[in-house]
Amino acid sequence: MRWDDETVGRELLGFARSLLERSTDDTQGLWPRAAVLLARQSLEVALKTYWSAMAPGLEECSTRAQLLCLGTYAGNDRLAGRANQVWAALSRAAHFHPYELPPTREELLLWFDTVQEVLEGTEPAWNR
Amino acid sequence: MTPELKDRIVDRLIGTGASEKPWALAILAALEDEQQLAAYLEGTKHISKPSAREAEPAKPGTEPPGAYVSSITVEGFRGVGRAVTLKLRPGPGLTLVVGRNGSGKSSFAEGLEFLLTGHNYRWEKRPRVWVDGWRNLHHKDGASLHAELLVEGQGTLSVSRTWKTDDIAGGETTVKRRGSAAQPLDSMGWNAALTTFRPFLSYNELGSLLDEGPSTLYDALSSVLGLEELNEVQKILANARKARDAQVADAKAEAERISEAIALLELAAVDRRLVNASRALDGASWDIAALQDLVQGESDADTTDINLLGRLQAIAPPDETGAANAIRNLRATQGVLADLAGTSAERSRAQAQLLQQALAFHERHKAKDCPVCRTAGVLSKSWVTATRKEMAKLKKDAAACEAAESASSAAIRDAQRLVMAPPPTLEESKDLGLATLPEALRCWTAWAEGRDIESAQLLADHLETQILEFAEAVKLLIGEVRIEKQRREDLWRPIAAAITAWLPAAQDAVRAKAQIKELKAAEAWWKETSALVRDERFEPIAGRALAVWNQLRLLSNVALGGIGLEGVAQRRRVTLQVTVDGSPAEALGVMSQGELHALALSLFLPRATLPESPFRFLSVDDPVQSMDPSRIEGLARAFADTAKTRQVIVFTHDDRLHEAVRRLGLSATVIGVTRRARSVVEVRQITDPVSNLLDDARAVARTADLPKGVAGRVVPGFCRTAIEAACMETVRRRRLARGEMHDQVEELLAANTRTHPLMALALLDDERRTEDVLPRLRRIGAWALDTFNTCKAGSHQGQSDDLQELIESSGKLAAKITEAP
Repeated sequence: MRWDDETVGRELLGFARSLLERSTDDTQGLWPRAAVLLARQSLEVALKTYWSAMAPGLEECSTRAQLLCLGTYAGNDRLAGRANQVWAALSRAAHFHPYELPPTREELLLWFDTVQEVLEGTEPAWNR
Repeated sequence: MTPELKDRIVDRLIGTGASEKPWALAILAALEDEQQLAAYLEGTKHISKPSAREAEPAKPGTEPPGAYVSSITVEGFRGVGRAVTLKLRPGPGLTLVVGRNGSGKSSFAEGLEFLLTGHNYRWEKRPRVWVDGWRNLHHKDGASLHAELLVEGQGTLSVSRTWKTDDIAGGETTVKRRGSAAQPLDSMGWNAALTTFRPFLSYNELGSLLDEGPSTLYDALSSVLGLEELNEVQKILANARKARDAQVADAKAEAERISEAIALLELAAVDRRLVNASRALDGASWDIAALQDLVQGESDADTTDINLLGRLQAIAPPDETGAANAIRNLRATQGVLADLAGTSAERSRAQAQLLQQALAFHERHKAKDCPVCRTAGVLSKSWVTATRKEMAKLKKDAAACEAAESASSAAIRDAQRLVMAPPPTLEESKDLGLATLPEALRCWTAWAEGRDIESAQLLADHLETQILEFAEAVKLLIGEVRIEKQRREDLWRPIAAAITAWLPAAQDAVRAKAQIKELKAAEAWWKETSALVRDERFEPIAGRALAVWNQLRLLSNVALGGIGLEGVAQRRRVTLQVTVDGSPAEALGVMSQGELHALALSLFLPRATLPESPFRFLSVDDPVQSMDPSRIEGLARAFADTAKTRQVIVFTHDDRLHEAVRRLGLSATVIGVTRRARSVVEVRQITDPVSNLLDDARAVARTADLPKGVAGRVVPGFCRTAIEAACMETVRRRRLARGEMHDQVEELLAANTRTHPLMALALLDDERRTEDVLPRLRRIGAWALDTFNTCKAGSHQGQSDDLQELIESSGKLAAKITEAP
């Protein structure tokens, strides 16, 4: 996965959103999980991009570690908390749980918005 | 009525110009109480016109000392057998009590609720058998509830209830302060507040609040607004008006009853007294004065039938004896006159005069011859004698004649005196329906014709022919009048009695009618003012509810635009202005069950956390049920926000809330409840804010291949935050236990966020003694000082082993701080 290009995170989130907007026959039934995976990748890419600028090497560590360190580096515990929460929600949705219903369109939109928020919150680092 | 509300009312009376209205005084009296209004309306109490107050700065809402929960102990109650204690941190903060369904966690929530309120919402909706099953089956030794509460400014209170029987209502809840005797819980004066600010929310209750209809929701929301006071005044005014309505209605009914009684009488349309009474009783306003005159007999006397009858009755019957005398007299004088017929008194007198002159002439002139007829020598001595004799006779005849004439005239005069015209009363009484009146009047008129008769003879004849008939007719009339008068008096007497009895009530009713108008105006004004005050008071709650809703709704397409209270009495309701994707909709129709719960929670979190509430805790039982996963983040944030100023205890079987709190990095203590066989319930603390932070630090420190410096920068930050959390927790606990007010403690903490003063507060109880912090830490141990310094420096360049050690020593230091008295 390319994570050294700051546009990738946004692109991935854009794909996720477009899956939601126009579902074609070939994506039918698959789109919620696909959108979840795209959004999670978008978040992870954003973090990796952030760390490659802020603390090179950390992008290679577990996402949990990256999320734990985000509050300290970004100086924004609330953003880190939201990132943590949405990452957990996306991860949970990405895996198959026999008794859980797939996320609704509204839930997905909410998660995308949170990912967007994290993208924007970490952007200044790579624009430096 | 609170002085603030009274001031508000007076201000509005003056502001709207209503203070100039007469009914403004009724409102002021009603503000006092029912008796004052009654006294004012009776006129026994003077109320002076309100005058503008000096403008005073609005007083901020005062917070009464608040209670936090330190522990809940449950024994033999619901799911808990052997006594078990749930220890809580008394002070603001979020505590999650997690446990599977049936683990017994709800027994703590229900236990606390029952202990304080004597009720439990969840059971009250259940059948009796369910309620009766409150006792734990596995524990027959005893049943008791116990809670330790920490009250600001007062210290610890023990609230207990022990049952000796299986009756849930048995036993009394007592409250005990250290060093004083136990008292009934009622002595705390919390009863009203427990309803008004209800610090217990359960899943069932949240659901039903919206299901039970708009008035239930209205009542639940409006109780915090202190609207009872407003409603009380409304009721006082309405009662006063209704009492007067009843007074008027009663008087009216009685008037109608009297009217009907009159209408049923046979003379109702005839007897003018009855007609007048009936007229005075009918119509929109009664003629009280006329009725008073009627019953007191002071009516316009001449026109009233009964007075006519009275006068008829008073007519003197014809004087038959007098008439007979008069007739006899007339006839007698007439006889004398007849005997003197041919005799003329004047002629006799003239003749006598002539003879006297002749005698005088003869005497003076000594004449012998008659100077008239010239017959010589007739004037002799014998002539003189004869003439003298004749002259005397003539004089006597004249006198007798005059006397007879005079007697006759007197007899006629006397007779005519008896023949007077019929009295006008007879003519006036024509309408009384007296059967004998026409005949009496005719006879009397005929009798009276005698007045024009000059002749004694004719007059005597007239009297003689009329007297019997006339006397009989008048006697008959008087007889009838007497009976008629009696009849009318008999009809009138009960009517007069009824009117007399009714008059005082009628006078009251007339006054009441005027007051009803005033009271109606007062009520209308009050209604308007109540709605205004209600809206003013509800505004902050509605605002906060909207804020909570927006936090909870997250991705709901249902937007809540406004919440309002509307209507009164049967039409009271809560309005929820809702739009779905921008289109207005009916809130309860378009919301999902989960959204309804979120909405109920939005409405009741603000209520339970109002500054006026004496409870600083909030117990929420199972709020996550039927809530969409995505809404849980909002819920966690709403609880965490509330927990900044309140002790929020959330009982949940759903670990999603726990997870969301953890992921979002929200500060919370998590307590696990598990239940083993035979209702042995175990409580253990799973995590708290300090260990959460240290766990995170450990996770970072343990991460392999972390770039150099990252852990050294991140970990000390977590450790410092953990130590600060321990400091804050310690300061809160200590100061609240000492009786300080929560506001002051929070202010103190907010003013001392830096590590050094915070540590001074925690270790030395004085934020100014920062220079003593390091010596104090050194006394605890060199490790403590090192740990503090490392954390404070904010980054650490050592090995990862050192970091592990830093985390552990931070935990140790946090524990030391927490142990500080």
